Amino acid sequence: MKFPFYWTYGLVVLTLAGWSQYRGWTLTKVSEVRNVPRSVRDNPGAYRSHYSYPRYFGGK
Amino acid sequence: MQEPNVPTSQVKALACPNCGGAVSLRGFGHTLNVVCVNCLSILDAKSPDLQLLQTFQERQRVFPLIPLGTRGKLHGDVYEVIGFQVREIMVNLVQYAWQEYLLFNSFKGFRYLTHYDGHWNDVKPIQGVPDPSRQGQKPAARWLGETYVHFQTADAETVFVMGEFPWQVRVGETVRTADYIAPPRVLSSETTDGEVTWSLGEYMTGEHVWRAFGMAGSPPAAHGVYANQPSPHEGKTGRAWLKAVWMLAALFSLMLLSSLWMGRQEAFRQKYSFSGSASEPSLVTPVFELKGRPSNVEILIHTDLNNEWAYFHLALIHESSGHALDFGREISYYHGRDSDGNWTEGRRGERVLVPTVAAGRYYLRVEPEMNVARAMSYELRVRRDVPVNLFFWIAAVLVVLPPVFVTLRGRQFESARWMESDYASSGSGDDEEEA
Repeated sequence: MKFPFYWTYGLVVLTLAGWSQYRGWTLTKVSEVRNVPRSVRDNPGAYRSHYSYPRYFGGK
Repeated sequence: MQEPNVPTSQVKALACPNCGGAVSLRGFGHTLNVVCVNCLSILDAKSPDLQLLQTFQERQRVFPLIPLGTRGKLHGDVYEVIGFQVREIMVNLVQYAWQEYLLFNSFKGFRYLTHYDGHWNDVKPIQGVPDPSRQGQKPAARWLGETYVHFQTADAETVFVMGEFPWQVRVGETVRTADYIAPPRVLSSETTDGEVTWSLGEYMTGEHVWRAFGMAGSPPAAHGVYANQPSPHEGKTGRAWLKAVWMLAALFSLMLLSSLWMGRQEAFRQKYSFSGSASEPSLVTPVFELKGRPSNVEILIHTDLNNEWAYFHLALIHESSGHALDFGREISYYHGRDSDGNWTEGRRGERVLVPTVAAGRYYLRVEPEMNVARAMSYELRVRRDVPVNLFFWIAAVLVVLPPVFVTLRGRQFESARWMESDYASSGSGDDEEEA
């Protein structure tokens, strides 16, 4: 393994890890919805959720 | 200008008693047998009329890659190729043949070049007997402070000879050979009639040999891994792991520092109640402010569910732009007792980490869902700039991948080396440690 290659590779990995922390990256899946009307604050029921999530309502 | 230690070109020319062809003697007093290059008869160089010792007709003629009479420079000295022989061993009913070139320098004496399948060795007889030893389960020999591990023992038969030899050479003669390796060197013994001779070889590439002898063209390509071929991965494994340790130390330092440095500011916290029979399940929270650079937002939901489930539709909505991030979480918590004892399933709380949210004023729209006849209390808590170490752990795996790869390559090379040995089934075992 070439000296500069591994150090460069490691530096890139460390930088990405640090940057992910700084920017607050997560693996959470979210749906983006634009232009939600202000009226939602007065009538929350008018909003329709756009998020789909695998749901299991279990129990032993 | 001639090198000071170049043997003088005094070649003694005689006639073969078998075919009448010219026979050259370059080794002079050292040469015991000489082979006629025309008819391949083995002649006694010590007799005045070159007495015929053995005729050679059974085998096809083999042409040496380095012609007799070629001169080359090894270890700073000029050597001339004066003899050539082919020897072979039988292992598991498979014949393996290799070539040996006898080199001569009138001041330095004899040395050999061996060649097998593109792999070369520079071999010099040694004065003395190595000490028997062991390394792990394998026999070994110690010579000049170095341990050579036994690699292979076989009966080698001379199948072709050409040129001059300082010993009584015959086609068909066999010797017991044993090789002990400490790459790039090999210690070899040859036993015949109770007499043991030892030699020490050092691996050479074909390119090195070609340069040394000023040969035109390219040497034959090397195939496979030779017994004492130095591993191209030698020392790399340790160095790669050392670098990985440094990088992991830097990575975990960065993880610790970022964990201490990140704000974890609480932006909102409030308790709510919910009934499954409510006519309007959804609500919006008061507006709260998320400050600072774009970073994550943690939303913690804690309920008092008891053998029940609930689902939360959530939307983090920017007050002025109406830009919403929509997500949801199921929470369920069950417990009980059966023949196996107490059991629990799920948990009462859940957290959502929303990635990279810009600063601004936000509110949450919450729409719980559960069985109609049930009710619950829950608490919502919103925190800003929370450390998430998942990517550091992923980075740690990525950092150790290259050394793992290098280690596997090194083991693969050693495995291929020992596949050709007497220990093929047991692999290299404890002998593949790096020097």
